[in-house]
Amino acid sequence: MHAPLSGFSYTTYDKKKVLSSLGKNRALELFSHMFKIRQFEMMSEGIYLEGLVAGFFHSYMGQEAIQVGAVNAIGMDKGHWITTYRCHALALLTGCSPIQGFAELLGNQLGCAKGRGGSMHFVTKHMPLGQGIVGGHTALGTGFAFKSIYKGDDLVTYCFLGDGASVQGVFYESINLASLWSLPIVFIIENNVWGMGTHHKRAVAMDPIGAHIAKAFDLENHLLDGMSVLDSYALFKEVHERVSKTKRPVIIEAKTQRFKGHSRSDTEYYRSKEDMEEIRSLDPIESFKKDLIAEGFTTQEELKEQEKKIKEELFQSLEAAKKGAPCDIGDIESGVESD
Amino acid sequence: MAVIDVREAIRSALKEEMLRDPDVFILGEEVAEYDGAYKITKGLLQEFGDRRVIDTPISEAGFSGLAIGAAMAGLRPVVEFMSFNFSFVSFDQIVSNAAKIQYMTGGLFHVPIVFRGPNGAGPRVSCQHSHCVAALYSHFPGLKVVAPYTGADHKGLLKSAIRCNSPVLFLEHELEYNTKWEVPDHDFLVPIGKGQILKEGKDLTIVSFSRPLRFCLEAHEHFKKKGITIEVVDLRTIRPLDIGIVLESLKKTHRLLIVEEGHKTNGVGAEIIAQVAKLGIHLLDAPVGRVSQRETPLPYAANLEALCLPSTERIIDEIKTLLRL
Repeated sequence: MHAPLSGFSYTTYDKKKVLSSLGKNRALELFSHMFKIRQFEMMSEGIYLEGLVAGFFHSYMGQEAIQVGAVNAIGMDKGHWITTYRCHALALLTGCSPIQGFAELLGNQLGCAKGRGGSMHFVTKHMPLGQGIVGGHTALGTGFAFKSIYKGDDLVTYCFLGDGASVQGVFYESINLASLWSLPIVFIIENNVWGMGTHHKRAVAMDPIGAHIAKAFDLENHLLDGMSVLDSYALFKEVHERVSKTKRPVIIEAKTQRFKGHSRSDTEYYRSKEDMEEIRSLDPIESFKKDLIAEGFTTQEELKEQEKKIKEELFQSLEAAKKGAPCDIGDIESGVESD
Repeated sequence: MAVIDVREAIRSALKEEMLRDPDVFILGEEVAEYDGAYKITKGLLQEFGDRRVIDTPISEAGFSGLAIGAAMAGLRPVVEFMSFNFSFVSFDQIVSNAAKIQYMTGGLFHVPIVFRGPNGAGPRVSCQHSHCVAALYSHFPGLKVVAPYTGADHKGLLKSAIRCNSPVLFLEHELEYNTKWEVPDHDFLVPIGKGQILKEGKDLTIVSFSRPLRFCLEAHEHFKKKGITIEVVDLRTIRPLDIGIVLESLKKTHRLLIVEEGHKTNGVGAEIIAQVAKLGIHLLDAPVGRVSQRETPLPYAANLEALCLPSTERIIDEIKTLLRL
């Protein structure tokens, strides 16, 4: 019963124009970022299955185009990046090295959160930790945007949430405050169809979600094809420029599909083999590869070479992460509070 | 030394800290144009403008979370809850975020924020507006919980709370806002985490905090006339708990009574007794007594309300039992 991603009125852009504005090198960078995230998630699942990683683990596989487009369009230091427990990709895009990422999964001293967060709580100075309570982080996002108004800086806050979080009360309080006080924040509802195992049509009384909410709170909104990194890049670039000037919040709903279960423990009884084949056919990385080749930016062989390089780099990162010292047990109570 | 009421002591702390640090700002329901539901923030909007004294909608989870985010981003918010009972709507923000973020991020982010407002029972407002939250929030590592009694402590502790790089819950009491105290004029701080002896004595130690200290002091006077001296310890901070001052006092008195406005079960007293049992059980010559709110939601009827809350009479009765008088 999954929803196909066609048939919606997306905000779309001319592929060729976006590609030419990006240029060859930047376009290939988008590819690298998507592939690196995909590879990171696959290897992480691998070490999870080996028993080296524990706890909840939420894969971003399938959704890469959204955050890769966003961070590349805006630049990590031009925004505050707020997200959920499905946080590996955004962390890698905002300054967490693969070594720090793997080490956090392994729970050792090299981890981006010093082994205190695990899979759900990666952190970088641009991304104040993946948030574990569904919807709770949207209020924190308004706080970062409030700071930008208070201090008069030019940063825009980007706050990602899922379709499941879109009906939490605190999200509406956050949108109300953001609209009421004109805060420079963009809420991105990554609608991957399923809130854990519950279809959004059984959980959310609105479809599309973002457009309905935006209407109620007097906000600009966009529906994004979350499987297109070019649309994502172009939309975030445009929205960022506008929000930098208007300081008004914007809602983007990105229709997407996760390739994996909600978390590692999800048995996915709700999606059939056929469903998964159709979902896999929407692979944002495969379709972008075709675009890059069609544009003459690269060839199948060059891409293979690039993929090999990224895999090699990540294998080395994983080995380095495994060498991280165990968390210091003498340190267990330090850093709980400050004076 | 000026004689001012608790309301003015709190206000002067806010004002001095806002003058000292441009990143300190106030937000909450009715704090600006209405001058505050209890007039704590009276005049601050005129003095500091609407950039720094901010009225919020009735949206506690939203504005608490916003303030926590702003604190993570480097500002120093002071959030007023019209009543700490309304903080329950913000519970997830305070507990999941404010308390935990510094530790979870390995110190990459701090949450320098103060939540302040009246705590405990207002006059005849029944139970949904009367909960004492001291025990509840002091359960969580990462939070500091402060509950002053004297005027000077309201000022000095609030200033320390605003300068603290961790979240502080600053518990006031509506029924003490009008109480007048001598408060030093100069800029001073009272450290978080240190109790004080309000009255010295040798026959029994009462440990308490916030408004119930008023009744403890009355009980002290009552017994003094009879030649019995009760030492009154004001905790001032519930977390971190100054157990040292309690143990020191017990070395003199060997008898302990704990008085709190919250409930007895898993209350502040329960923690004090556990720590005394571990660190100083040899100091005790008698069972430990507790006077707290009875184990009911607080009733509205005047006679029932009076029976439910700690009072001078209940404290005197409990002391008589402990001293076998």
